[in-house]
Amino acid sequence: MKKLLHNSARLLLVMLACCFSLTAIAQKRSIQGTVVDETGAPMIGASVVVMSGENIVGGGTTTDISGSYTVSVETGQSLDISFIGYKSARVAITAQQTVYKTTLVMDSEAVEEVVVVGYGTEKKVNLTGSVSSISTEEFNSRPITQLSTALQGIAPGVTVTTAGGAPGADTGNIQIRGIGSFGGSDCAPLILIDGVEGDMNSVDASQIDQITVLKDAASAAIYGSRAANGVILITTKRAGKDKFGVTYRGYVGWQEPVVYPDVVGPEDFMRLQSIAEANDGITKLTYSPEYIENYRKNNFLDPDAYPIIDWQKRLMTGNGFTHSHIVTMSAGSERIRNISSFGYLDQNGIIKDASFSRFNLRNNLDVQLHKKFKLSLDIAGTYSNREINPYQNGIFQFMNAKDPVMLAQWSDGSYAPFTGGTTNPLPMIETGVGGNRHYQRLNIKAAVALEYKPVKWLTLEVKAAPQLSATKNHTFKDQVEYHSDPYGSISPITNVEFNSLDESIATTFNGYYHGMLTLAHSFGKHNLKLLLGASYENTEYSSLSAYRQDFAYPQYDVIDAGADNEFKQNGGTRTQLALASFFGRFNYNYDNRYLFEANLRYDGSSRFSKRNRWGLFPSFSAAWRLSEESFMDSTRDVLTEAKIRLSYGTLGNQNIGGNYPTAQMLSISSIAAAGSIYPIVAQTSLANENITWETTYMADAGIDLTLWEKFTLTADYYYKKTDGILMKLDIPSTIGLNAPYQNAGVVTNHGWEVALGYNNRWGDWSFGVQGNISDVINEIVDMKGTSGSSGVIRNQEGSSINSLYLLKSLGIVQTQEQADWINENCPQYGQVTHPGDLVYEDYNLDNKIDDNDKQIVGSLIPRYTYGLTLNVGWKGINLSAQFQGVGKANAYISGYYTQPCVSGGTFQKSHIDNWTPENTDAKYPRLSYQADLNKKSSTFWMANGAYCRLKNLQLSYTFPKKIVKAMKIKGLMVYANATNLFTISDYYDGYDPETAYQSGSQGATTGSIGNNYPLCSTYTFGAEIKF
Amino acid sequence: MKKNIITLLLSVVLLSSCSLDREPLDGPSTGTFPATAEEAEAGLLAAYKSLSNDVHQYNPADRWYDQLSDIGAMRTTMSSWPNFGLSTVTSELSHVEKTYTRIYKAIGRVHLVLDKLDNLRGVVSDEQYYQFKAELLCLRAYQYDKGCKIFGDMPWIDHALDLDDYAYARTPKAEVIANILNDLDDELIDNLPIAWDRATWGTCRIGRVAAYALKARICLEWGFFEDAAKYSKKALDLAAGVYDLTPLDCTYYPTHADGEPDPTPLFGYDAERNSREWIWAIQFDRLAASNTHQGVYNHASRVHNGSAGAGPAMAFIDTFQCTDGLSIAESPLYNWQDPWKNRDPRLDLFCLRSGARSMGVQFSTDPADKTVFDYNIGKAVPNGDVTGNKSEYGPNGTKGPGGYLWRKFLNMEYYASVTGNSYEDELDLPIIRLAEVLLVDAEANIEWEGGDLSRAKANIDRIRARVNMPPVKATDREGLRSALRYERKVELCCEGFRWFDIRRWKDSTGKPLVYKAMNVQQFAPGYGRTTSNAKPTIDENWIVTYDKNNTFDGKACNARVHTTFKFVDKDMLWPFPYTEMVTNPMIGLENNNPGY
Repeated sequence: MKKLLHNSARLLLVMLACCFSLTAIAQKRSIQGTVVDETGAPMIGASVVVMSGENIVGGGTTTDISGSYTVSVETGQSLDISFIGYKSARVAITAQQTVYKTTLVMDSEAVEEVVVVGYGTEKKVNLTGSVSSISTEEFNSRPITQLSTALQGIAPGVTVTTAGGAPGADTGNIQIRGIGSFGGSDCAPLILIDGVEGDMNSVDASQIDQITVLKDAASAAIYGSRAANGVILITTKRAGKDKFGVTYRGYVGWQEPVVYPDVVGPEDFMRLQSIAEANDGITKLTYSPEYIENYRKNNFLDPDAYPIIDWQKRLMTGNGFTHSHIVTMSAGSERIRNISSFGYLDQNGIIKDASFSRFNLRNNLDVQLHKKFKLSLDIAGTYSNREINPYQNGIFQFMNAKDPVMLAQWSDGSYAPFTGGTTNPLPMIETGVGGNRHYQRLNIKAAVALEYKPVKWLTLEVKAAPQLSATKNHTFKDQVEYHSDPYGSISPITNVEFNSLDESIATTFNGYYHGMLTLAHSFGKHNLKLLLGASYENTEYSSLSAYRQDFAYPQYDVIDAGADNEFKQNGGTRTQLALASFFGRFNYNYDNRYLFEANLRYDGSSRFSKRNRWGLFPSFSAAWRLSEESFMDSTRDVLTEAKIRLSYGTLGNQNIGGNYPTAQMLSISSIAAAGSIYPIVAQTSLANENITWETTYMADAGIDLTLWEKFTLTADYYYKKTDGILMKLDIPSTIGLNAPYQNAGVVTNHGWEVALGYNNRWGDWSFGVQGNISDVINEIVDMKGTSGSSGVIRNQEGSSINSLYLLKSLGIVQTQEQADWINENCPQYGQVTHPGDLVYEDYNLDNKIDDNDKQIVGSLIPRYTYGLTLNVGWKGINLSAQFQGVGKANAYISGYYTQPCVSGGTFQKSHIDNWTPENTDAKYPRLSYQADLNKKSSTFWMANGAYCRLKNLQLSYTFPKKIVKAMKIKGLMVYANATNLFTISDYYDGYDPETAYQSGSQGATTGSIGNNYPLCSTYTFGAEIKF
Repeated sequence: MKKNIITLLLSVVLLSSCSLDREPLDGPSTGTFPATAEEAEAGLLAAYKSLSNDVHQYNPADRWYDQLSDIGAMRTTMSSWPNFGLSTVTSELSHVEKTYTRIYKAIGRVHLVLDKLDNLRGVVSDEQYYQFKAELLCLRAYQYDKGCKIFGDMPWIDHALDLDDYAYARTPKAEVIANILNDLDDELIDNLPIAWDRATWGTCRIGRVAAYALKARICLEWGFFEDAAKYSKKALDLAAGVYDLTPLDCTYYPTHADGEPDPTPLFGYDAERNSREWIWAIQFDRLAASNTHQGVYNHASRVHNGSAGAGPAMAFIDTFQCTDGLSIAESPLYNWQDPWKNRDPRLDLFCLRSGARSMGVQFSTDPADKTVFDYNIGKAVPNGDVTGNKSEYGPNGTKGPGGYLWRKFLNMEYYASVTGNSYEDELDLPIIRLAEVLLVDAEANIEWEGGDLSRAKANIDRIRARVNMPPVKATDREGLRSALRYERKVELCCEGFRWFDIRRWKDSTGKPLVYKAMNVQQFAPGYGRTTSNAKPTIDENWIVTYDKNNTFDGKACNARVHTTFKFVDKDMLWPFPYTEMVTNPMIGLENNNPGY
């Protein structure tokens, strides 16, 4: 009999190995026993089964809190004692012995790990596709607030980037094996939570049992038209049999920014500005040397005329306190098993009015209705609230780039207005004025599944899983009063003429239904498995928005409290989507040596017109377990496991933004005439009835090795081609309508992935290391002759998506002779080049430098992404460190965030090293406000986005069972954890290389990075208590 | 058991065979549209709406073209607009693409209704059918006329296109103009009401006067002077008793303390509702969806939280005659140290100069004025126009438009609506107003050999009389031509005519005026100054030029060069948009306008 146990880290196939026959018929008697582990500590909850030969007799039990059991047996029978993660032991009952002591030994041998795959599970050794499986232990006690960041550095081929650290917005952007599309379509992977599409960040990390990443076509093709960007399967924990337990897991901690720019103080600011003015030929300097000399003294005497402000100190006043608690209770009997968990997370920001809180509830229930029927009923709910300062980006703009002699606050405490033409954010932080903004989100889902197993080889399942999510956005902008002088003789002014409230609510209902049957049978050495199923999904989205202004009582920020005047606005939309699918999988293996799998998916989407509606997505894969061959017997001591995999398949992408790309839509709007409103009807966009799926073809070759039982290696090479990428190709304007999507573009991604692991233990010591590295080379093969914008980020045929399009800087002009030569032979932008200016490459060889000399010089797509996790344990103490990084990437931030002498900005300390005739070996060109030659988009301002970061460091202590027992609890673990402890990189000073790549579904942007909320280091202390 | 399985499988198959047809829920789709009079009207009104969708740099595009001519000055770094004065416009420039695209989008909206309008014969009355048709064809003519003036030869599209039907070559502009004049057939136009009901439609829709005025304008622009005179006469005859010039208060307010001139009876919200001079206008109203522009943001001073982005050029300010009808270079009434006195009242009515009051607040570009007085609240407020890096004197002088702003379209209502975040401007822009029809009529009679010169003079004098300016002295063709050119330049400023006028008008040698007007250094008062001592040279066509050596006081010129314009042959037209050339197989890059 095989019993499949399924647990978080190790999944054991517990097999009854010994067999012996009944030799005598004896009387039933009661025996006592204890079960201990290798350290001699009692094992609670070990399973004791009475066996007669190979048959279970019944009357088994489990060990109590002292590790002991009492069981009624007959001589000649035996006991099978097992515990997850340990080798099971067989105890023969002899006539003489009445007290037995058994020591269970940890099972360090290659465990028969079971991995969740599409619509089922598969033994890891029998996988034929490229699949990364991540157990919850790999990120369990890390302070993960957003699950999407958990995969960073853990799974090869999975790139996770983060745009910022704002509480609630510190989510990860996941790309699996490169970027497959650049047009209007979404490049995010398909996320399935217990088989139903959902938001990854709505799940608490500790509710998760396993995360599986399906990377190649063979494993993902069963999800057909949505799988082109990879699939992430998240499985939540379910209760085990005969178990009861309550676990509390929680932490408290605080955050601080990883880096922020090192800006100059007042003296340096004025000095650098003077240098720039002198370079510009201005003789009457804004700040004379004497003025600078006496500035601090004067500041003390008259701070209104000689202001000094440290923006970072004044604005970064949030406490960054964060804490999380989750209680999980599981109970299981023979017929009913239930696990409930309730979590709460609260995260404060490094500035005020930035916070995130989330409640999380999940209940997974399994009921064995009948020996052939099983019912499961899951309910989950998440509610989160994200508070944002309405001026958040303005605040970081000031922190990163504003000068220290700006007058922000008068000596009487009132605030100065519009410093430098920008809204002064100080009162928003210091007195909490200016309004508020929050995003609330509610997600409720349920899933009910009925499983019918009429015979051993057949399982039928039907499932229905509706979910409802609602979001509410609220932005209230209130007036902030500023004073133009400290005595109030000039009337105060406000930043906005009236206060206003903008609110919107969006609801999405999603219904998911499937039915499937699984057949599994073996004939001798032939093992067959067949899965057939069908599913249907419908989504309805609707939104409602309202706006009012002029709130007489700003403390009541609800729509009704605003003025009921002509400025009020409202709006609403509604769209639908449906997807029907048939899917199947066929597995065949011979003697667990030769493995073959075929998948087929047939998808129909409401997005497309009838003739293009259905798409077929097949995949094939095969593997050869070399190590199972008899001729490999001799090497088995070394080569524990060896497998070669090959796969090929087709995937689709239908995420093209709009839900009705084929309908020739008329839009209803309005026109005004003589103060009245009349309806108008117009066609604005041309529809393309021929539009269909983007198709991705992917081939993968891989190898899995286990050496000396301890060392594992997985390596893959893949080639992926995406065809028919939806692009809005230019159409002649004479058509008079906006261009429709057309299936036109082609992109390829190819790359490799390697994952290595080593685990061992020596007595009380344990050691583990897991490493992975992957590369992807992305290329746009066909854009139908078009190219993206002429901005810094460009999509161009022959280059990768999100390439950087810049002038190539050749360095700083050192002498007047060089400058003269340039001005005569290759003038730059029609301006005069001076010594100390940048000189650019004449890329198009037309003897002048202008925007036509821009070229592709790099790409924002990270390459050589890697991760390394180290674990060292001694008795209960465990130290784990996770490193993560990018080997090659380019980045570009410009404007006053990185460049000196940009209007409205300050200087960074590094700008002190600027070119002067005395300092020709400078890092930066000469300072000048007038010459914009040095501020052109060029490689000079491009940065290396490579980095290596200690992402997480954790020290934990698991209390020994003796102490725990004395405390009358089942287990106790305490830990200290720190994230983003240090980073090695050659990035811009003061900015985080991890945020270099701000990726969105529509591509990437660099402009908004400079004032993003920075990533944070989090320091936490936590505990896990089991009752 | 088998039964169970079959039931299960069947239910699964049923589940999956649910319909995948999803129709859009937010609005109808094409098909039989328009099926009713209401639908046809909604489609027609959408074609009108195209006019207000065309916004350039916050302004209704139709008035923005003045900013690209010699009378406009703007910040030297304002999107890519300065290129238009520097002869550096390229086919790829988005403004070029947008302008072209919007013309055909408007024409596409016409065709959405026009193509299937015949289905409505019998469904709607003949009168209504012809009204719809006339309005649609007028709108199409307006767009093609604009297109031909800006781009030259335009592909003649007369029905809705799609992905299988889009290859059309550039049609010679003479042919396009012939087509639209043919469309504006008198018999068809006569189906329109003389003017639409004020209470119901206001100035939104084209009536018979507007249609004839449009036809006259097109004829004049393309040199059909006799026809122009004929149709402008028809328009003016029909307009008699229906439309009239709106009186303006011409009081002179030397300083902000004395008060402020009020152009709003003719150009403000008041005019939208009450002016009898407006014949056809582009409609803006915040109550309609996305139906505002932000012109006030572009025009208003920093003190009003505007961006002070574009204004009149010094050369335009110096164009205004003295009250004796002579230019400032000639008039004894002119005192360069007190230049605002004794001037054509339209200087202060249409333009805002330092020292005046605007929307209740003192306007000053004098750096000595750290605060300005706000008469609305009776207190001083910080003078945003001279302090901070967004002031007139911000870095590189890139923030100020050159010392002056437009007042023509500023309304007291803005005082409350301009804010740090919202610059909604819902002021309508007249496309045709009676003064312009009078000037079209005057010009047609001057240029047509058989024209009635006294009629032309009467028209010009009528407009001058409104602002207390003396009648023109000249009675001969040349003298009246000069007077007409002054009058159009001044009266129609900031309404979008100048760019086209200086291309249409020739000097005595037959060369378009634009060559002279746009090949000059554009001057502005020096930094920190509100006036200058530069003495302009003003020719018979009222083109104003400067010479650094020519000053009123003989001292060094204290004006600064704001921009150095350049104009060559190719700049008579804009380049043809790149996208159109590469996507339309019948055009191609080789068919760009000459010189590009």
